[in-house]
Amino acid sequence: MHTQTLAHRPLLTQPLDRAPKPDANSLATPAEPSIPGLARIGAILAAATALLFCVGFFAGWIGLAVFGIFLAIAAGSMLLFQNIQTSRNLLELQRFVSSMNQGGNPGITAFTFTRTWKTIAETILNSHGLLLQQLRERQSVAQKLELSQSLVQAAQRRAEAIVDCLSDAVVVTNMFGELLLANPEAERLFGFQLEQVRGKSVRQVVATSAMANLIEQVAHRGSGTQRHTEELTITSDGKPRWYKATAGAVVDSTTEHLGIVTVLRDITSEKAAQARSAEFVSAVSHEIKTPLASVKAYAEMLADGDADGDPETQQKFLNIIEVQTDRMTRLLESMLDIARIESGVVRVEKKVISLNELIEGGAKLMAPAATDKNISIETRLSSLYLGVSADSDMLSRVVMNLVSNAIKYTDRGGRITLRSQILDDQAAFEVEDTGHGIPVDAMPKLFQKFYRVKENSNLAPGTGLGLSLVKHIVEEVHGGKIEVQSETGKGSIFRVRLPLERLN
Amino acid sequence: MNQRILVCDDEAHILHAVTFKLSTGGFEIVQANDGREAIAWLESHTPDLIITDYQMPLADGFDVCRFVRGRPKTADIPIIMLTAKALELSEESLKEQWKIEAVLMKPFSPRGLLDMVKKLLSTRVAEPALTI
Repeated sequence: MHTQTLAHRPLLTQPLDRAPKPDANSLATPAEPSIPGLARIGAILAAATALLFCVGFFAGWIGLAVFGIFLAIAAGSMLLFQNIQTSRNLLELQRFVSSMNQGGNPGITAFTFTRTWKTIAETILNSHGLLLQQLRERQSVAQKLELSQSLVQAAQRRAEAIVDCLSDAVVVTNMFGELLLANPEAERLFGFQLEQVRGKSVRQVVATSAMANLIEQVAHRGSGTQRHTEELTITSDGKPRWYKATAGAVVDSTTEHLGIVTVLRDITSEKAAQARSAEFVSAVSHEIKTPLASVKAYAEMLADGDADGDPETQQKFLNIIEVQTDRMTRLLESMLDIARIESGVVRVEKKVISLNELIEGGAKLMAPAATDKNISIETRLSSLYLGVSADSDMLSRVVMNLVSNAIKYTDRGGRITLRSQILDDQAAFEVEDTGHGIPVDAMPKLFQKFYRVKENSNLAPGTGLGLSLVKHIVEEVHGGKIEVQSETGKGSIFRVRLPLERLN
Repeated sequence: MNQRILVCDDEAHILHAVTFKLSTGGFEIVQANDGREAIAWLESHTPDLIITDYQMPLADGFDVCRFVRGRPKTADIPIIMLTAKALELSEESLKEQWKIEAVLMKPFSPRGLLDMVKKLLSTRVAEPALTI
C-alpha cells in the first residue's frame, strides 16, 4: 500500500510579504506622469534664451545678448531646482515602496511628495492593495484545496486500513473483472501478492471459477446497486472451506459502475455448527423415540385388552412403561444438564481445592452402588497436596460419572482403583476398572453425544451423554485433558489431567 | 401351519411388544436381536414376512435387506422396516432400493402393525390360489 505523508509545509512557496513586485504594466493610470510644468517652462526659457542670445550677439545688440544671458541663468536655475525636486521625490518613493514591501501599510502623509508624485504614490498604493487582496484569495483557495486533498487522502487511508483489518477477504475489481485491490486476507486465501497480479483478470488469478462468475453476474446487470450473494467452497492450504461471497457494484452519483467489491466471509464453522445441530436433533429424536415407542406399544396393547385376564403380563407391561418413562426423563435431564453447562447458564465458580479430597468424596458417594454389585473401590492417592483451580461441584460430577461408568461396565466381584499423582507437572487422577473394556473402533467416538458402545449397551442403561459432559467439564471448563486406555475383556483406565496450582 | 414372521430389533422391549401383538393374530414369530442373528437364521430358513429395525449393531437393516434380496430363495419375501430414523431415511428410496413393502416410524401402533401384516399375508396367500 502506498503511503503519503501529510507534510506540514508552507502553503505557498513565498511568504506574502515577499511576494513578487507588481508588474509595472499592471499599474493603473496615470502610467506616465506628465513633465512637470516648471521643467517645461525651463526648457522654453532655455530655448528662448539661446535664440535671444544668438540674435543679440550677431546683430550687435549688447542689451539683447545680456538679457539672453540673464534668461539663461534663470532657466538653468529652474532646471536645477526641478532636478533636485525630482530626485527627492524619487528617494521618497523608494522609501515608500520599500516600506510597503515590508508588509506595512504606509500612510502617504508620512512622506513628503509633491502633488504629482503624491498621485503616483497613491496609484502604487492602490495597486499594491489590489494585488495583496488577489494574493490572499488565491492563498485561501490553495489552502482549501490542500485541506480537501489531505481529507481525501486521510479518508482513503482510513478506508484502506479498515479493509486491511477485516477478517473477511475483500477483492475489488473494475467492470472487466480486473483486479484493483485485495486485502491481506484475500491475498492469503487466494495465495497471491496484490502487487504481482494487479490489473490481471480474476479468472486468471483465482482458481475458483465461481468467484469470477459471481463478479461477472454483477457486472452484466448494468447500473444499479444490487448485490449478489452466493455460498462457495474455496480450497486453501489443501482444505476446502465454505465462504459466503457477496459482490456489489460501486456506483457514483449517477449510478454509473466504478467497479465491483466482493467480500468473502468464512462460514465453515457456521456450516459445521449447522451440521452438528442437525446431527444432534436427529440423535435426540432417535434416543427419545426408542423408549417412546415402547411406552406407546405397551400402553396400546393394554388399552386394546391384549393382556386381559393375565394379571402377570399386565403388570409386566406396566413395569416396562414405567422403566421407559424413567429412561426418557433421565435422557432429558442429561440433555438439559449438558445444555446448561455448555451454554454457560451454570456459573463456574473456581477456587483452589484439593484433588485428593474431591476423589475421596466421590468414592464415598459411589460406595453403595459398588457394594450392591460386590465391586471393591480402592483409593491410592498421592501423599502430596494436589491443588487444582476448579469448580468443585462440576469436578465432583466428573469423578462420580467416571466411577459410575466403571461400576456399570464391571461385572460383579470386580475392582475399581482410584489414583492421584503428579504427571508431567500436572495433577492427574485415574479411574481404573476390571470391566468389559472398550473395543478399539469405539475409541474415537467415545466422547460423542449419544454414542454408546454397542457391545456394552445391554450391560446398563445409559444415555450416551455422560462422557460428553465429562470431556466438556475437564477440557473446556478446566483447561485439562481426558485420556482413555482400554483392552476388551480386561478393563479400562480413564485419566484426567488438570493444571496444577502450586502453593505459594 | 401358521405363517412365520422374522422380527429383528436390538431393543428388547420393542422385540417383545411386536412378538406379543403378532402372536395374538395367530402368527409364529422368530426373534433376532440384531442383523447378524437374523442373517444367520435366514441362511437355513424362509419366513413369510420379515420385520426389521434399521439401526442395529453388527449388521443393520440394510444388511438384512441386501442378504434377503440377494438370494433367489428369499428375494420375494415382503419386508417391513420399523425405524426411529425419521430424518435420514426416505420411504420412497427405501421402497425403491430394497423393494420394502412398508416403512413404519417409531413410535408405532402394534394394532396398526398387526393389521398391516394380516393384509400383506392374506394377499400373498390368495395369489397362488388364483393361479390354480
